Amino acid sequence: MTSVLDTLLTELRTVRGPIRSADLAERIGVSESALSGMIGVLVAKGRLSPAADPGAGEAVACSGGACGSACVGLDQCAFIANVPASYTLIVDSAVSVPGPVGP
Amino acid sequence: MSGFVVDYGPDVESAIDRLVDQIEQAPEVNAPYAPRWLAAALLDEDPGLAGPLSALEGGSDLITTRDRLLHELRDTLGDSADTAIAAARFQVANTIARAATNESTHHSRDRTDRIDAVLTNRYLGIPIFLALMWAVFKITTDIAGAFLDWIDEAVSGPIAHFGASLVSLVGLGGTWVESLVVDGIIPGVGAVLVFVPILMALYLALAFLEDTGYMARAAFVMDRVMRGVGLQGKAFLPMLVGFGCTVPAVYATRTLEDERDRVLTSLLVPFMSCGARLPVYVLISAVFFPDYAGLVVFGMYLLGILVALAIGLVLKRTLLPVTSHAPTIMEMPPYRMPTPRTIWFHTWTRVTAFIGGAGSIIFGTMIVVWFLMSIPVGGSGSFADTDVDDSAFAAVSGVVAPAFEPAGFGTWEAAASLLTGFVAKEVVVGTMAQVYSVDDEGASGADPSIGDSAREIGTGFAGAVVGALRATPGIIGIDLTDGEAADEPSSLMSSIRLSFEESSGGYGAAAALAFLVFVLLYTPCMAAVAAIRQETGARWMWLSIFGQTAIAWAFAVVIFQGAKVIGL
Repeated sequence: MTSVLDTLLTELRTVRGPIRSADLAERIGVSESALSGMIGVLVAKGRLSPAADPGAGEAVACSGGACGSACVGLDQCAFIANVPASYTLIVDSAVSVPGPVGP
Repeated sequence: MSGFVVDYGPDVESAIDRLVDQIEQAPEVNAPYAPRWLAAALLDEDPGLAGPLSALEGGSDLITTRDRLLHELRDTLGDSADTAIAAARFQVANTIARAATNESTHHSRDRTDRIDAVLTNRYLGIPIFLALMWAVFKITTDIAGAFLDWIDEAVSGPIAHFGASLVSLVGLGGTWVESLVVDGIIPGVGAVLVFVPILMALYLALAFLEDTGYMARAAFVMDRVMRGVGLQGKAFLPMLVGFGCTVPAVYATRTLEDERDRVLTSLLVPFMSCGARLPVYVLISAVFFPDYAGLVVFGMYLLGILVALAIGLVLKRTLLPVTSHAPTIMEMPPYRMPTPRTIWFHTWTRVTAFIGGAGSIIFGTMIVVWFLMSIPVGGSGSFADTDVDDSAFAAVSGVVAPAFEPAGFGTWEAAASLLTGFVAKEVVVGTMAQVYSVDDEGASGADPSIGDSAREIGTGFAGAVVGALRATPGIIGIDLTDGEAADEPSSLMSSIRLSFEESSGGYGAAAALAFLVFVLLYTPCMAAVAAIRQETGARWMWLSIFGQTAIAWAFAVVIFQGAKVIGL
């Protein structure tokens, strides 16, 4: 039997470009909060790669005073402060997620 | 939930049974933990268990058994046990959720989904994004434009008088110190002040969009655009940062795993128009395109994106073939009604951070520019008392200036502004304020009292506020200034217009447009160059510098010559 995580990955592979989590949740028939939990598992397993967190990104981008004089810091950058959390499928993650034998 | 058990499948269940047997034979371990829960948690590699278990008799043996079973399961399942356990739990949770919720309610699209269906639509998303950005720049230029004259007049008039009086008061009147203060520091500070209304208007508009939740949708739309040139989904992040500042945007490419993606994104990021270029657009637009300033600024941002896409496509097919098109999931926040308090907080925080950061480099560069303009290399002047056309700065810039003749702005003043712009775009307007020098009547006339100066500044500010308020309805097409004569252009603006008209043979607007395009497309700043070198190496850095400059020059020439043909 195919697990819901496997369904998620299979569905995601059919997507061309970005997809809203709400749309993906609807496609695989789960709630958005459930999808969020699944994403967490897949990130931990290295199947999905999270985009940089703006706060963490600031530590990289602005380390050592390297920021441009016009930089207000990533956490204050209007173009990024409200960027949605995003997760990219690791292209090589083709290994099937085993499914349970359930009722 | 007594009696509720998740079925993890035969392989995992077999491993759980073996662990349960061992747990039940170890009393110290069995006492504090439920055997099945402990067995599942061990196979799930719960990080909090190893420590406490090791301290119990039989605990270490249990962990050894667990490790062996995990190894066996990996071979059997083709994956780790914790993934299988998570999958099983989600399967059960999903089954329960489906049974416990109303299917029709679950699938109904709420308000956010309905709005998203329009704003992130494959075909409507980009036009809506562009329309909103146009509105943002219209607001920025219309509101900020009213304050530009006020700041210019205040700095060149009352504030310059005040500075000169202060220097005279300490007995340094008529010396180079007076020139440094009046011709160097005060215009430099003025150049910083010019940023305030422009950025405040920009950040106000962006904060509104951000607080509604739209900026997240803009990122979604941008992501699609980035993929158009073969960049992976995550590349949209540094590109978005590039609209704020190129330097952190280049560093943000570290989040991309693929080296080709990193290099390609680092080379394209500088084409995104950073915030420091905005005052140049606003000033030049106010001089040459006062009725279309918003459109011109919007056009600059759009051109930057289009050039980046075009260069991306070329590099993708030549030097940097990129193949990754991995799908991306984006979690959109719900739409909200913004509150004035949060909008103001975001606006003020960003403006002060920007001015604080940019202020020091503008101030320092203005002093260096003044120094170069004070050294005579011709004529009969002496240090700090020479005609600017005879200064070292004019001589150095004059060497470069002929290269810009085909673009219509081959003067040493324009070249000087672009040269300092290589250091940082924040200093272009400040440099223009110094090199396009004019002898203001006010500056050489009788010194007004402090009270008169304060009144003049206050009256000018009130006029600017009224002007901004009256310009605001123009954003939705209501012109409250209809029929009124345009304000008298400031001395700086008049001087810039005159210079561009002369250098272009009467095609000042065409030359101004070419100048703006050059400012948009050439190397953003030294800090960005250093960042590109650090992230991609010297070879790509040089390609970026020469490539961008060549592209900027070519675009500027084509635009000037083309605009001449159509009679702009």
